[in-house]
Amino acid sequence: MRLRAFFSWQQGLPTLHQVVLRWVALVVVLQLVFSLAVARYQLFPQVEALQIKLNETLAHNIARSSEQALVRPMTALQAALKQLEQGGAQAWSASVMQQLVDSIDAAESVYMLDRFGRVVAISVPPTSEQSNAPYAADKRLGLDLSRSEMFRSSQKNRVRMSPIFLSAVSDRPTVAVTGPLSDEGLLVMELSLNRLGQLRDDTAPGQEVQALVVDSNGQIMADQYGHKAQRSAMLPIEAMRQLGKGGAAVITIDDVRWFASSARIAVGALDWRVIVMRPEALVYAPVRHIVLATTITTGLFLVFVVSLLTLTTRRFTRAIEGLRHDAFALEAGRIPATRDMRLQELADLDASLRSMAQALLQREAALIQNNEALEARVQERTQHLMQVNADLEHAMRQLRHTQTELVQSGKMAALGAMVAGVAHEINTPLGNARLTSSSLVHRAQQLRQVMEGDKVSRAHIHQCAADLEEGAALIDRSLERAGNLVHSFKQVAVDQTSNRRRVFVLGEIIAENLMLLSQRLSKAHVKVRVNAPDKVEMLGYPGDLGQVITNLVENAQVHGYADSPGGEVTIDVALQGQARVRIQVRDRGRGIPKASLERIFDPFFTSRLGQGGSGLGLSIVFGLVTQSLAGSIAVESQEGVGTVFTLDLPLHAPERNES
Amino acid sequence: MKPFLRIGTFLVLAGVLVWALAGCGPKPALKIGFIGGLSGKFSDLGTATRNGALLAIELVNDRGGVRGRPLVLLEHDDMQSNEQALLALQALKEQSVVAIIGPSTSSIAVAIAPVATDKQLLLVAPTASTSRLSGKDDYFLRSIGDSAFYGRAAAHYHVSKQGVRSAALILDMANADYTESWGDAYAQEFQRLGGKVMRVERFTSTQNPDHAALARSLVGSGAESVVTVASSVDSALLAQRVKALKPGMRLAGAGWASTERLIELGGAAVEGMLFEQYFDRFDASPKYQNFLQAYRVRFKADPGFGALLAFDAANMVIAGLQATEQPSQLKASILAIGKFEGAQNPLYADAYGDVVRAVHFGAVRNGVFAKSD
Repeated sequence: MRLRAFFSWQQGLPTLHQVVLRWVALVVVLQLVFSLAVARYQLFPQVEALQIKLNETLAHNIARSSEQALVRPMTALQAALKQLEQGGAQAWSASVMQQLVDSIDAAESVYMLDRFGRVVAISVPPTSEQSNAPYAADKRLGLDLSRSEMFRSSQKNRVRMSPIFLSAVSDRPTVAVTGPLSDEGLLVMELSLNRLGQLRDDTAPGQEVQALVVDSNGQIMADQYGHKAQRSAMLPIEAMRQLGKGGAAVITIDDVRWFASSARIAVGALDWRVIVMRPEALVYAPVRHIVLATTITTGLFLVFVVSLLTLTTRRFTRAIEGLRHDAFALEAGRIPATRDMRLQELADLDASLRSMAQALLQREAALIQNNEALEARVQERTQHLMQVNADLEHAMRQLRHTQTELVQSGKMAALGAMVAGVAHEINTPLGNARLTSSSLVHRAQQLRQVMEGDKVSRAHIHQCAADLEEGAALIDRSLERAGNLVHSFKQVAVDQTSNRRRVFVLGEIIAENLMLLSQRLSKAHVKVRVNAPDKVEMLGYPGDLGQVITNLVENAQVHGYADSPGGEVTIDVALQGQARVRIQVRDRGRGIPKASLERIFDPFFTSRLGQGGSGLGLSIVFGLVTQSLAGSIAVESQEGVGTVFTLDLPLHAPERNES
Repeated sequence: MKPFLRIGTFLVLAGVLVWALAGCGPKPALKIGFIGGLSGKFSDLGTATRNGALLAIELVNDRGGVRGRPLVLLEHDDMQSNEQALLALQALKEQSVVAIIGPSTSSIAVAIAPVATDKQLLLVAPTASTSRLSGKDDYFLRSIGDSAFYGRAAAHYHVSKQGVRSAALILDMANADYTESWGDAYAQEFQRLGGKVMRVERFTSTQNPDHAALARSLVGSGAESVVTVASSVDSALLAQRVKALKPGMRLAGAGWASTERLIELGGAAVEGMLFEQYFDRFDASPKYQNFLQAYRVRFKADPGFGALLAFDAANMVIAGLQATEQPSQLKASILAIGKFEGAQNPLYADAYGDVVRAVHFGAVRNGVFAKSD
């Protein structure tokens, strides 16, 4: 978690302290980057160039002085050769050789080879303390060196320097200066490599710079401080290639990188090179110190600035914290205490805050006053509203009561109409019966008169009897029809009023209710056609269903065919599977306007306001269908085409909750 | 603390930047040590082994090193002294070398092999052939055969091919571990084959020996053949002294001396002197010619047996390094490889890291080691 916090910006807003420190850190880092870039691209190259120059000069100087040091034995040998040519006696030549070996510091031995390459005379320094194992020079007399490189390569009149070889005289690797003798022999002076190497000691330019002398194979011949054992005795071939015959390069020796320059030492067959080099790390050290110093200074500066800024921002933050507390005090409605602000801006802010507090408090007091007045007014209004509400509720109750009464009176009106229809219906058979009965009476009187008379004919009596029979039959039929009507009416009335749940046949219920409407319908020249399958048995509330049918048919007659001289209403019954039935009541009347269509089931919605419509018919239908019959009702209508009411009812209506 | 964490983020970024500016260096070099006689009397062999090993390493570096890491050879001169060699071993251990090529002489090998085994620092000796280190499961491997084997082979050759009947031996005690095992094997085999060892002379080359006196003793023994078991310088000097006393004396020497230095220092005296040869200087095979050319270009001279054996030794180490990344597994890795190409002939390492290498005999003819049959 800590680590994540370290690398990611904190959630939310930064504090003043954070913002300030970020900027300081950014500036410091930029400064650091700038100084590093300057070091990398300016200082380092300059230092490199300087070092190369120094190395080159030094290598050149060392090479020249080394050459001189090497030339000296050669000139001495040359001089000795001249002396030997003049003399001849063995003692003379021995003394010349001794002088020669004494005159050269590095000389390890001087010996003379005859023309067969055999050692015929030898001189060594009196004290050869530099040699590890002092050897008896005379034991080397007679040694055959005819196969040696120096003997085979010797040339007339030429003093030369041999390559390095392992000396049979000293048993050590060595170089030799050779010069031809007049008798085809050879004068040889072997030189100590160690002593040659020591030549460079006094030219040492300081501890950090190293001077090496290497042969053409890269073998280190001399090393300024005897570091030989600390690293390869061979300069890596890569370094030799880089340095070439002379020049500067960065070479790697045993993983250490050096700035090196080389200069050639060419004396005789010797092809040596002086290499002056300085560790890259040391070359760059001053620049690295500057960078380090800059970095440390920057770091210290950073710490210093951060401390100061922390103090300052903390004081500032504390002051702001105080002001925050003042704000809390103000929030609690108190005038905050005076604070000792040590910064002008903060003091100004404090003063402004204080005056703002005063203003705020005044304003708050005014607000409170206003609030109180407002509250009183609100209360007043509320009371008024409550009164109005109560009045409205009262009106609503009355309205509901009126609605119930209206429904009741609607029902009564319907019943009235029905009674009128029934009376009319019954009237016809009853009239017929009465007419017939009076005709029967009249016939009976005629019969009696005939019987009382004398002209009684059998045919006449027969005729009378036939007439009586016919009349009685007519009366019987009329009465039966009246009885049927009454029965229907009674059934409908019972259904309507008792609302018992029972099993009934849908077709019968439709027929009964239509019969009760027949008077009105025929008056309006509206025919009703029923397409219903036989024996659709339902369990439910036939009164409610009858009322629904009646209302819908009436509706079609009253509204659909209001402006037409007559029409047809179709009732289609269709079973929907085992448990449901669909009843469609369709007319081809004027239709319902679209705007009204959505509202036709609303109570008190009527298109015939003031013309006797209560606006409750379809509302009652909706209520009966959805509640008592547990079904649904839908209406489709198009103006000028007609209207279809579709009832979707279960065959078994659930028992009604009487409560 | 939180704000300081933010500063920490900046400092980390700055650190990354500094590191990026400084750049990242190349892979560090793999260090291989070298111990050999680079100064003194035996330095011809030491220098030759150093050159051979260096050439092998430089050739590998030219090809990109081992797994991208260059090799460096850290050289130490044992000055033919056990103390110096042990100091060198310690120094190389501290320099964390993965293996050491060397030493070049048997006595030094006997002195430092147990210490190297203790330190688990692998020595691969190019020319130290002493029997005293044969058949040991230690940290001492080599690219040359057993000196006793060479001694017996020489005796066999001298008796059966050349009909030598009697011999006088001279052994250099400065490298007794080689000279004794070579000389003993030679004497035993020589006598087994019916030859007679007339005298065995011993001297210490580092103590300024009197070669003329030694030669007088050898010639005085009445042997028809003188066998020098010594370095090139001493063998050359002895040969000169013997020939001066008895020009017709039959001369032979142990392989140690068969360097180019012997011919240079021996002059006419070593003409006809017979040695066992570890390689064929007149081999025309491309493999050897490649090695020869590379060596000539690098060192402006022809390689001797020391250079060739050291080249092979270094290549054994290189092959091992290429097979394993773990320096501690180097020995097992080398032994697992078993067969090595060699600059001339393949060589086979056994479970103890001792190798079998072909040998033949050659005498000096007109200043070169000629092949004889």
